[in-house]
Amino acid sequence: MSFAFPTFLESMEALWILTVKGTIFTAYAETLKPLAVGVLISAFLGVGIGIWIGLSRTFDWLVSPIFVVMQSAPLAALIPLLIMVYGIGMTSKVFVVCIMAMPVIVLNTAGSVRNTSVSLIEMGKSFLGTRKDIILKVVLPSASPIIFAGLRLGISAGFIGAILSELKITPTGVGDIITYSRSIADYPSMYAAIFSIIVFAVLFLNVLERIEKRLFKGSNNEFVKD
Amino acid sequence: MKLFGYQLPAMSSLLVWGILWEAVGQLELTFFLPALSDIFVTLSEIYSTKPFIKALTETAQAFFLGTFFAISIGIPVGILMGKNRLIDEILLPWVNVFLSAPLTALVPVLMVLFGFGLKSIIITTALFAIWIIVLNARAGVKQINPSLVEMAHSFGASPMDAFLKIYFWAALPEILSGVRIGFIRAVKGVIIGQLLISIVGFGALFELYSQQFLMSHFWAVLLVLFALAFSISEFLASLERKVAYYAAKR
Amino acid sequence: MNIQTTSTNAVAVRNVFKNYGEVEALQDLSLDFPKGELTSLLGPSGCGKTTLLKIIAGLLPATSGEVIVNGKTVSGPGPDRAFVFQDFALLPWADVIRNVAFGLELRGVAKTEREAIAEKYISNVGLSGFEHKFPDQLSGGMRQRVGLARALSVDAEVLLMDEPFSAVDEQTRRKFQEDLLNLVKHENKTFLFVTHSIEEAVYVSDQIALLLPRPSRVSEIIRPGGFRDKDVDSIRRDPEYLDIVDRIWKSLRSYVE
Repeated sequence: MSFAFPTFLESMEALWILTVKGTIFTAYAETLKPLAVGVLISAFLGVGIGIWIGLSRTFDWLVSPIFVVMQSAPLAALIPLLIMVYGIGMTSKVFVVCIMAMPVIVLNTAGSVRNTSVSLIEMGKSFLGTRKDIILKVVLPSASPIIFAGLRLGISAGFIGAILSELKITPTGVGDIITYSRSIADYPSMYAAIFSIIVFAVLFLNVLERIEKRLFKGSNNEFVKD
Repeated sequence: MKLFGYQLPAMSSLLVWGILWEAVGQLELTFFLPALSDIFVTLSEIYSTKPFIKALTETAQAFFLGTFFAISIGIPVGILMGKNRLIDEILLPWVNVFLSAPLTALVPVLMVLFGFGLKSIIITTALFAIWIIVLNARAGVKQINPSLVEMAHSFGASPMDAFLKIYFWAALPEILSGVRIGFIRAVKGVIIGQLLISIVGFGALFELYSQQFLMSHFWAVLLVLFALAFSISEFLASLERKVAYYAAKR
Repeated sequence: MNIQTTSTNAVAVRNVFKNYGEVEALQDLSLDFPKGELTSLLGPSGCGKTTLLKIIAGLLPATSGEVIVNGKTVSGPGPDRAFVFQDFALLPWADVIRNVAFGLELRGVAKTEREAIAEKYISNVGLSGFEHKFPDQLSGGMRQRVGLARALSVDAEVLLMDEPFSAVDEQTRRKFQEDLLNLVKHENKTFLFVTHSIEEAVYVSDQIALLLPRPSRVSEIIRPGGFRDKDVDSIRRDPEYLDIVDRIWKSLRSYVE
């Protein structure tokens, strides 16, 4: 390759320096802020909307198509628009995370609520369960595994959104390290930063997956939608 | 949902939203949302112009080349992983890593290694799409009913016959599903590539229109892109449905 | 309007029709289920027996006609009827004792009280010691026993069983049939039992209603008699038992697809 492809050791050395200087930690704090906020908003709104869609045919008809379109559309294209509307601050970044994360959360939640085993619902009704009882004691517990998986995929999409907004909107946090290092040809640092974010994201999502497996062992897992 | 006893088709609420959009636009409630009709008018004006066609070809080029590589490399690798334990054990962890990794972070690397041109965008597109294609091809092969394999043996099928007449079709539903998701990811990849790497194709148009606040133009191009992405997705879904009749019973 | 049922009928079905769009699942069906007995609904696939059972349970509405249970017209599920499901319908995230107590939980019974009741029925069905196991740790037969215990716990007068033994293996099934005979003898309930197995119906029932499809109707009512008091092992070799099984098979044979 070229001098632009430093050795693994050089990159690790750069990573070490960044850690020791503390730069990496402030960077992550910056990057994770819009990610955390965006994911929390997406989780609450997304699961709420998803449950509503799953329970109400009318709401499903009205609102699902929007999320279905969002699912297959390259939402990154909206970033220039968001910059126009909300400028280059935290709000835009949170928005980017939200539009990336919400569709998958909503659609998975809605799907799992709607596909609750008919047999279980009938059983609840046969034992005189009220509508509220059946939703709280049968539908939601039954849907939890997929809701959780949807949240995990949403966080994964949110990561993409967070990094994208840093590389494109305003360089802050880890995105800043990447862009800046590249511009001054400090390639080891650039690789170091990229390596760290990938490792971070993968580890985080892996931990979530393990928690998910442990929490929901014994439940039958239908297919999770990407 | 039923209205006056008629079952409304699945995506028909988009019409309602469209009407709402038109209203918002006509009332000029926000600068950023022009009336839907204005957008269509703008679209009809620009779709035959040189810049638009250039953008479309550039994007299409990157997209189709990227997906071509993703499919032609991804499916064989996935099949190999499904059949061979050793290769599977070596490659699977990596595939899983890249499946959940924020691939956007790799784009700067590609820019550095392959420059600011079309090549990088094609590679970005391929990278976005390939992992899920590999995973699904592998899954398709792995779930082939062992009875089918035994049946092929017992009737003395040659390896080529077995592959073409049995295994390929048995794995097809999963492979198609992977390709469909891969295509959607590829669209995301090509756009992200164009936004970050080099300002060509639709990415260029978005930049241009947003900088000049040409809202109708911006939305026109955006809608075209979304419509294309959606149509490709639906086309592949319809292919999937064609093989779905046997998918559940393999 | 409340129709007085005779004191011997717990459930009375009167002129019930059930249509799904153009398809007539049940046509003018009338049938009585004597109190304290086990009546089977026996017939080939598509004869509407599960549909009828669910209408009696109040889980499906009849298109027309009515069902009277203990003097009251049925308009939905009620505390007087309990259902045992073919696919068990257990909550996979709840342990055995919560599953058995679930019917009581939905009725607002306090936790300690309902768990005490559940304990009793768990031991009745032979699952003592499994209170804190989860459904995926149980065999098919055990899962159905949980379903049965749940239905017994709510102490309903009528027990509706929808092919309850069809999802377990043959040996377990035979054991269940024997246990069911004991249950009918000792519990003061009316049992409605849907099955497609002729031997099973003749073995466990006090009365068999033979249902034929297209259109769905009751073709015959059979009351297996003499061998009912024999011990469980001898019934299957009793001549009358074998005769009735044969007779029924001859009637149903032409309806097998």
